[in-house]
Amino acid sequence: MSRKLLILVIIYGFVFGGLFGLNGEILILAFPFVIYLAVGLFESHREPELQIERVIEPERALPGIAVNIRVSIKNSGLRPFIVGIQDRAHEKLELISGNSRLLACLAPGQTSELNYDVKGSRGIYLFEHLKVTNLGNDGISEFERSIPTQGQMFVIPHIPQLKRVSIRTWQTKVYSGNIASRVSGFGTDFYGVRDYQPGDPLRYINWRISARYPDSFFSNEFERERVTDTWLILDGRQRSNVRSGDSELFEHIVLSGAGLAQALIKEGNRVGLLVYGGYLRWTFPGYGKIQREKMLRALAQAKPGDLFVFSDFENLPTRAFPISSQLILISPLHSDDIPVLLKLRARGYAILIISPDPVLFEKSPLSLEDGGISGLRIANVERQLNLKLLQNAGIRVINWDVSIPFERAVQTQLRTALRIPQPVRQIR
Amino acid sequence: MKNLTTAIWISVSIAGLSLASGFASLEAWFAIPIILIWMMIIITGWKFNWKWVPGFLLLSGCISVGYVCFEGVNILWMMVPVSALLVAWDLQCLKLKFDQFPQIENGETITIVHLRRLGYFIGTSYLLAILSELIDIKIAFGFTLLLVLTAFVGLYLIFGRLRTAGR
Repeated sequence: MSRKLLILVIIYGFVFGGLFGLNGEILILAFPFVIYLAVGLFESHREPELQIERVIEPERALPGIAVNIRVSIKNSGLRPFIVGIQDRAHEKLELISGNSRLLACLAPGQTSELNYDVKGSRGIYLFEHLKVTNLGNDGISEFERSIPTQGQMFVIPHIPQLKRVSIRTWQTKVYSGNIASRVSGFGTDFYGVRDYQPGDPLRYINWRISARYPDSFFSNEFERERVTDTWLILDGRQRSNVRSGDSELFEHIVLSGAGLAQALIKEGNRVGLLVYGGYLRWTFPGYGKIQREKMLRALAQAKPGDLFVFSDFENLPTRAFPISSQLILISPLHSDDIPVLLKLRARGYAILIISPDPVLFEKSPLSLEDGGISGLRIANVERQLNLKLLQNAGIRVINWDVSIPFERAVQTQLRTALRIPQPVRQIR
Repeated sequence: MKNLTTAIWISVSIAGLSLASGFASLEAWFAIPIILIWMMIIITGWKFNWKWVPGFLLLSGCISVGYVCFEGVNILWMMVPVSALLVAWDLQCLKLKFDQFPQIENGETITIVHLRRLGYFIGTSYLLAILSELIDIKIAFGFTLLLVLTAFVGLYLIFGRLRTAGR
């Protein structure tokens, strides 16, 4: 029974009692309740005038790191209010210390503050509302409002520290970088020898060859090192998101994406990100720290999805990727993905696949006694065959056992760049 | 919080004593078992934190007061348990609200503000009651009160619904 209803029952009880019993004095007993109800209802139409300010420090944090949230509430009205304030923090956020709920009596101009620390897993957390309960000065005038506020918090994935990601593409950009561009110029790797031209530094002269030809000099040429366009494509399809206990393979995909994005941007490349799954979430290519921040924020928000259109790589928007650019696909791979990837390779894209091994990921909780071993072997053989097919087509594949940390598992293989063979035309 | 609990117990005790004296003025033997049962339910309920105890207290108290008044006890005297029960009920609701919030700022002020407001209500009620006694309240007044109240509740419900629908 709500408060208003109880009070009404009592009032009507006294009024009817007085009328039916023809006892006017009983009516008097209803007075306190009538006044109580009337004032309460009158008060319930008074909205509290509150100024709310929220400070989140830091706005960007790693998983498990405490984030401090301070919400100050000021009564900017002319009347005092008794308010219950509840900050609607996300369910996934864990309260470490402090309180996200407060009951306070705010005099005009007075300020109260909520101060608490939270931690959470990867994701974006929006603080769009603050729940304010106006308790009024009596029990009847209580009401709740959701006051819109501003605030967001990013929990970015852990970033594996990769020392170097060596890639080779057919086309490079004009800016200096770390990628050999197959064009002579300033660089460190030996490229060839040409006739000496006035202005060549003396230390570039190849004395050994020049000694063979007494009438002329020869200079060494070096391979220019440039930056390139790189697209990171994260497989966000629900069917690729293998679960094992509480952990998801997608989290490993995101983690490796963060490591690669950081390393590639650090080397000066122009990097873009595409999360392919329930939707197409683009981060258009760019350079530098701002781009890194954009990508990390995009990775923080990445979620797997199961839209039918994106159930295979057939609808990968290849027009967005510059021809001959580097594509880095992070995917556990399915058998039906192979033909699409071969087609992409045939178009001239340099493709690097980081493939978290779903078979090994699922293996641990599997019962290996009742036919599990045979199943595991079959799945492994099928996967190895698929990977071999891709490697034969000139696609670089790195098979990653996710039980080993990403940087340790792939660093050796990523450090050396493989020479890219000419694109293999698809045989019909 | 401690002061709040004390205030509730004081209010309940005042209500119990004044109601008991009201019964006693009719017939002493009749008052004792009723008050004892009443107090037993309240104490047990409070001990086990039953939510409906304050509501039960208020409702049963008002019925008892109404009965006592019918038997001829002075209405101004019987306003005491009614007011005390209203105070106890309101403070208990406030205490439940306090329990919902882990952090309370100016808890004492909130309690004092509540008590002050309740004091105003009760004072006004007493004033009206005395005036009504002076002008010898008639049944017609009851009908008027009933009509006004029903119209008010009806309008409030209609406009409340309309406002909610508007959102």
